[in-house]
Amino acid sequence: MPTQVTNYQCPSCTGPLHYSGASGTLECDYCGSSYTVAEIEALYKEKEAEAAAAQQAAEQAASSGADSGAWDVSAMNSDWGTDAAGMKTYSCPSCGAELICDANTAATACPYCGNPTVVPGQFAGALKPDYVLPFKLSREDAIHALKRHYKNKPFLPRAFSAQNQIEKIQGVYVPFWMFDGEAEGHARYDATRSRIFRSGDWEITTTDHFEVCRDGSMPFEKVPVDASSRMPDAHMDSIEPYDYAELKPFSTAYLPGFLADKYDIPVADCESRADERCRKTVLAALDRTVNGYDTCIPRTQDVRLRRGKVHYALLPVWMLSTRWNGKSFLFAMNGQTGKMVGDLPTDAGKYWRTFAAVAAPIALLGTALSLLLR
Amino acid sequence: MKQKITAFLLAFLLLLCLAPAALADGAQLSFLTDDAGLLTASESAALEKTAQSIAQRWGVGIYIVTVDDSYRIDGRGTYEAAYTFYHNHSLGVGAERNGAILLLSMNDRDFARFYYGEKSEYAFNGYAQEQIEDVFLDNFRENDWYGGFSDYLTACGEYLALAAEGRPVRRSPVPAIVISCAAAVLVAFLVCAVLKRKMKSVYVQARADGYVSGTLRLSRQTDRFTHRTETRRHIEPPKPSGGGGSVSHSGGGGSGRSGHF
Repeated sequence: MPTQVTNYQCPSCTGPLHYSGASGTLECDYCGSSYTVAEIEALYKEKEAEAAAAQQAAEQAASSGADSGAWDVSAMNSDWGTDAAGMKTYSCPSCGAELICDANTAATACPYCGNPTVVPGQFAGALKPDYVLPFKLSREDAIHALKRHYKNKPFLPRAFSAQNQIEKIQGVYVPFWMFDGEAEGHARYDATRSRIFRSGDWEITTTDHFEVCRDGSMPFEKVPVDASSRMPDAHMDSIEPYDYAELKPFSTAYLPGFLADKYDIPVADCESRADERCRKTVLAALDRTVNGYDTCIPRTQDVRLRRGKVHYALLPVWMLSTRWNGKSFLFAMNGQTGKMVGDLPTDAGKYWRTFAAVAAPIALLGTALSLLLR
Repeated sequence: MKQKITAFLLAFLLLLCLAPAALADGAQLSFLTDDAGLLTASESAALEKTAQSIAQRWGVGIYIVTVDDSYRIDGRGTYEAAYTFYHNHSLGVGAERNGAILLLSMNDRDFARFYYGEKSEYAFNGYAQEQIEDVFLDNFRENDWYGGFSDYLTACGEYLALAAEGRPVRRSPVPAIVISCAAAVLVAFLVCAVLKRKMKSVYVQARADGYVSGTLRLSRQTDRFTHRTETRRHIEPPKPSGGGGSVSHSGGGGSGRSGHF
């Protein structure tokens, strides 16, 4: 029984279950039965009740002792309970990625560097996420999105999309720190308003000078910063936003069929990115409140952050890492919204042929006109 | 003998009296008409000889006319006076009346140049006319009439010679070609930059606008007037320009312009 519970076996045929983003249910690979997450969890009620109780106790402890000067990480814990028995890890000897997955999922290649020889290992010591955003889109959706990403790119080398091994696209839950807090902004501006008029033979410009002050605060919730050094920050920024309305309390029931990365960047190393984004947002909001002037130059700008809680969450990403002409290319698709990003290589020959095709007719036409009209 | 001399003098006086009328009533004139008396007899003869040589050699008459006041010829302006003078006296060589006239109105120190006929306008297009103007204007500003007219005739002869060889004076196309090529490169670069930008889709997010869970709560909003400054700029009246003028194109053919020296 513990073995069946831990491996999420199908109640009908004991086959392995995998989570389907399209339907939002756990589906059996053998008999095709599907169950909602709630139904499966109801079957393992004792385990879930213990996990919920542990979560609630941790939250209460965190709210009574929060320090506005530091991020509140008191709710985090590494206690997976009996879930741990159903988890396994893979490590990549090439890039150092450490991936976790359920016992029925196999990692055939590293999703970050494409290395096909990932080494299975013992699951231990991983921080348990607070939230997970389940995959909504399937692997087929990701493959179609990647093919669409290649279209209408006149400089894309033909060989790139052909040799891309698109079928190696993998679904990965990427670890994120999510920061709650409030930013207080204080800004001072030198503003002017001018009027120009003529008096006889003189043009007179009068300029009124103002000292403008704006103080205000703005709350933020779940500002994401990816906690994996192998996932480029720019890629994760680019596939934002995620719809947090579909964020669920973490359950291993969402993992089957997907890999999950473990964080390797601690909160302290990520907070500056969140701080900076919040800082810029509140200063931009204060700037927008200054209206009716001809010029407005910021003189001083200061932002203080009241740091709240930090949550650890797994967000869904379909990833493909590929190499071409000695360079690595990473493509990432938001597993919830379908937004696909990834820089593409430029074929130098196509670039210069296009350049010549545009420049030559214009130069010839200009030359002909200049010869005719001189 | 005395009677012969008297008759000759009377005829000469009559000719002198009729000369202004001849200016007015359409008789064919020599190439130089110095009504304002700017030149000596020898200077006039030399210029006349040069102009005749040019007309015989290239089939284009180059005419010089000086008057005290161009309004006597045409009250609308100096250019119109040159145009009227040219046509009233049927100036020009050949059936097409190819020619060019330079008219000086001394009271106002205005000049006008007018070119007529296919051969003349082929040799003296807009650019060539501007270049020839530079040849004589500086002379006239220093009251060097003979020098200005002589340079004018010499330049006209040179331009007609080049035109006869099939190499009329034209603005060099090199600057325009360079500009065309530079514009082509710029446009091509912009087009390729726009297309290349489609290859890039990864960007760092600078702000957290999507994660604001409420609105900006302003706790302080003050706009305090501190002081006023005033600057004044004197508006200079427009200066009369020297050497400038209007560009006139006659409706009945020909081209040219008037100006001041």
